[in-house]
Amino acid sequence: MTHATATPTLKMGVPIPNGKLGMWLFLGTEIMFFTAFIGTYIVVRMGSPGWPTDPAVTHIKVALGGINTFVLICSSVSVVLAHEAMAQRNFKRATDWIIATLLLACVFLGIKSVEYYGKFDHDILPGRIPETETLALDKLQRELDSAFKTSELAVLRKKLADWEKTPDAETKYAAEIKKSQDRVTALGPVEQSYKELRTKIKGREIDLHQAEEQLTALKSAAQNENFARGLSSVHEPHVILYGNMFASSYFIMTGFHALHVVIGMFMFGGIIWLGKTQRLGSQHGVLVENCGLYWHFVDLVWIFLFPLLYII
Amino acid sequence: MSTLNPAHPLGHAHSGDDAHTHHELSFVRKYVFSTDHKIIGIQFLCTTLLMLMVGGSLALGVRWQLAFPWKTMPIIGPLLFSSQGGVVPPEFYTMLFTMHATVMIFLVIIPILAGAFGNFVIPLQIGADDMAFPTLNMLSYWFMWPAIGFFMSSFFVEGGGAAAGWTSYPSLSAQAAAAPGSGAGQTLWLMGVTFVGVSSMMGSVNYMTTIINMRAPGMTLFRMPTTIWAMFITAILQAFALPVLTAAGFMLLMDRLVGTCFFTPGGLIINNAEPTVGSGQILLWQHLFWFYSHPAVYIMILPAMGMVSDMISTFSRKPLFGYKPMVYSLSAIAGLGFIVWGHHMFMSGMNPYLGMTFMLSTMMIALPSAVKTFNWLGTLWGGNIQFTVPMLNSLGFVSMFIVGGLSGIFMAAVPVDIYIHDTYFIVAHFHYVLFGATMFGVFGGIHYWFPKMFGRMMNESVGKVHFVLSFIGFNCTFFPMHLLGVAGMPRRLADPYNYPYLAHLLPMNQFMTYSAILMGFAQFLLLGNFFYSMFKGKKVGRNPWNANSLEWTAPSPPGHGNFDILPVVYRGPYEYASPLVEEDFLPQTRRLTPEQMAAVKPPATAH
Repeated sequence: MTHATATPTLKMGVPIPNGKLGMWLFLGTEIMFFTAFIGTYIVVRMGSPGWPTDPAVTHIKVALGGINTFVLICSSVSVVLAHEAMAQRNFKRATDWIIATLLLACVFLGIKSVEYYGKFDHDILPGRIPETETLALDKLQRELDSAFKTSELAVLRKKLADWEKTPDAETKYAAEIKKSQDRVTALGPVEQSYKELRTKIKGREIDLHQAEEQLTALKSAAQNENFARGLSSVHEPHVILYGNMFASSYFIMTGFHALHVVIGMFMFGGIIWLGKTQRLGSQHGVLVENCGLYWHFVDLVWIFLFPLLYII
Repeated sequence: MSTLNPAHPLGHAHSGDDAHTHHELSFVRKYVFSTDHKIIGIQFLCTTLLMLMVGGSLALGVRWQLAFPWKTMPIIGPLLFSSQGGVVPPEFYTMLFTMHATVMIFLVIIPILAGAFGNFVIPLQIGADDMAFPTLNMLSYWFMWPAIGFFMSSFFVEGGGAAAGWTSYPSLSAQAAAAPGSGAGQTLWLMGVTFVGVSSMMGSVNYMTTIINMRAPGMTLFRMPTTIWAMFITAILQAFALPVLTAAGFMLLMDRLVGTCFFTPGGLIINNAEPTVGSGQILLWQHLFWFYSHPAVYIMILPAMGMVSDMISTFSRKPLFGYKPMVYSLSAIAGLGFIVWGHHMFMSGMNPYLGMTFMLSTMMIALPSAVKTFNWLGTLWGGNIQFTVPMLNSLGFVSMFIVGGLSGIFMAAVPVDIYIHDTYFIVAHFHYVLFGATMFGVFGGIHYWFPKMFGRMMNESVGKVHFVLSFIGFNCTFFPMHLLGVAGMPRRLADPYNYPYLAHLLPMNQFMTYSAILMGFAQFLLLGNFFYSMFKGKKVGRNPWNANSLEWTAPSPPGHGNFDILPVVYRGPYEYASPLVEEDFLPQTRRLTPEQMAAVKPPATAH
């Protein structure tokens, strides 16, 4: 571009680089993308006769969300400081601030995954939440069945049946057969209480509260007998009215936001790589600024999502 | 180049260097993974013309069933349904019209306007060396191919391709058990739409940036040809409406794949499947879908309007009548287009007051549309009209747009719409606008810019025969649909003649099918002419049409970097029959001395 200064230039358009203009326009499309989700959330929530708001039920952790908001705001500051360092041609400091931003993004995702873990642990997932007592008992029954099918007892029974079919198994595996039969006998009482609970649920002889108590009893008995690893996959039956819609909105919005965070982390990773290989220079000013713009947008989306999903 | 891209303090904008430093590229980099906007435009054009034939074949399948219900369908029937004597089943018919619309809208009309013409024409007409982001531009082309792959592979999965209509309303599209096409085919459809969406988003950001920031010196906004204005406004529509559809598509995809329930009310039992859970809203999809797809209707016609304005002015040898009103009416159509989506949902259930709002705002679109039509006629009036192929097709555009536009007003009125909604009247209307108007504009555009693309002319006589056959075939196919609609024939039925009140419409449908076959075969003339002329057409110079805009000052075809002489713009693009010069055209780049400017005084007005 050396000769550019020689000829008089007449630049049409706006006095910012194409890359920055493109980024602003791209963020405009992103606003519409998240607007669709936020608009959907408003419509389904306003249109719903009720909404689960009790944190004990929804496992929404306002404190964690609040900390995350603070973390993201701090990361927005650090990315601005990186941009500032770029303007002062201090590329070492710019790289350091980008590293700080990346670490804050990691903290954000870490806290986010703690929150996600709580929801997965309690099966607060779209399409899996029972919204009535009947559905909760149905689900409990289904989960008990599938847990029992994969339990230690079922495995032992299958082994014994196989041995029975094998002609010379009785002599060959005598010790093992004996051991397995003893184990089956020992597990007898647990199996009995499982069968009782199942019959009661199937016949709807007990209500959800009693079912939950008996499930807890069964679980502790099973643990003592080292029985049914699978029982841990049986969730406490909790009814959350309108919980599926809640979980759908929560996961799609925070999920797409987290995806944007991850994309931002890759962008920062690229800049850090340039910085660590001593190639970061003034020609990357627009790049860093664009990453910063994008990051502010990601931050801004969260600032909308936090009150919408956590507080209201 | 550097005049367009002065060195920036932050060191950006090195694209201008390419023209000076470029070396011979390999074949793959030059013609396959090219970043040159002209090659990408031609790639889009060839791909969409191929897809036009695919979509047209699907349409002929639909027409066959409507003319000869439950008779052996040629080619497809014996091939796929030999066990049923070559008769296509009803669910195959629903798939045919769904995929016809999908292919035509997402793979033909939108990419041929924005992708092919937008790419080829924008940098040339504004005097830039390339798009602002050439690599992004290449990606936007290659993101089309996964979409094509998804749509095409959906024909071969269990249950066949999507069959819920191109609008894909839940619950048909949300519940896999709802219909044969609601299974894997619908999932693939949604993934295809997502890729088309990403492709369009990348394209539109690129077009907006290019038009805002890369214009040649002197190319002020109101010196831009209407094609550029139309592409600009279209890009805005695309950029800000399409993400909503992408988001809605993700939500529907999640509903299908991971159990969210945005569009699924609870307790729905469809075809003995498990009852649905959740408390979603079916109508919500329709709102989100039409929030994009109504602006998309204008995405599918505004560029053609711009191109036709250019062609009509060029071949009338007259300045475009009312240039600024043309620009303002484009903006008005686009602006109103954002707030009228509800008129697709009058029959879906809506507060009557809201229906009234949508009705009035929709009818208001007739005003800017009428301004445009008036101005096209005003441009033609008293012009020295040259009946070239682009001009004939442009005249086809204007006349078909009038028919399609007028029938649109009928449907905007709630009471009328309640009668004609989901009848063939609607099918007639949007084919008049999308095929009658847009496709004739596209045919005109292909003939108009072909010499710039390949440095050769397309054959005029073949072009004229193609126009006449298409025009006649088109009107004979689609005009009777108005009558079918008023007679109450519903859309999307494989066999409407089951109903006694529709049985007498069979002969008219057979006539339409014969016309459609004629029109379909006429397109081979276009394809033949296109590919033959690419290699054997008559060679031409820079400006075969004696037109004014910047692309005609570049070589034909323009090399890498487009302009050998950097264009500087002194006036608007429509200075035809100017009294200042001998010729009847005055290019935007031609500099006149003050003496020349003063030589001719404006003619004194008689009093």
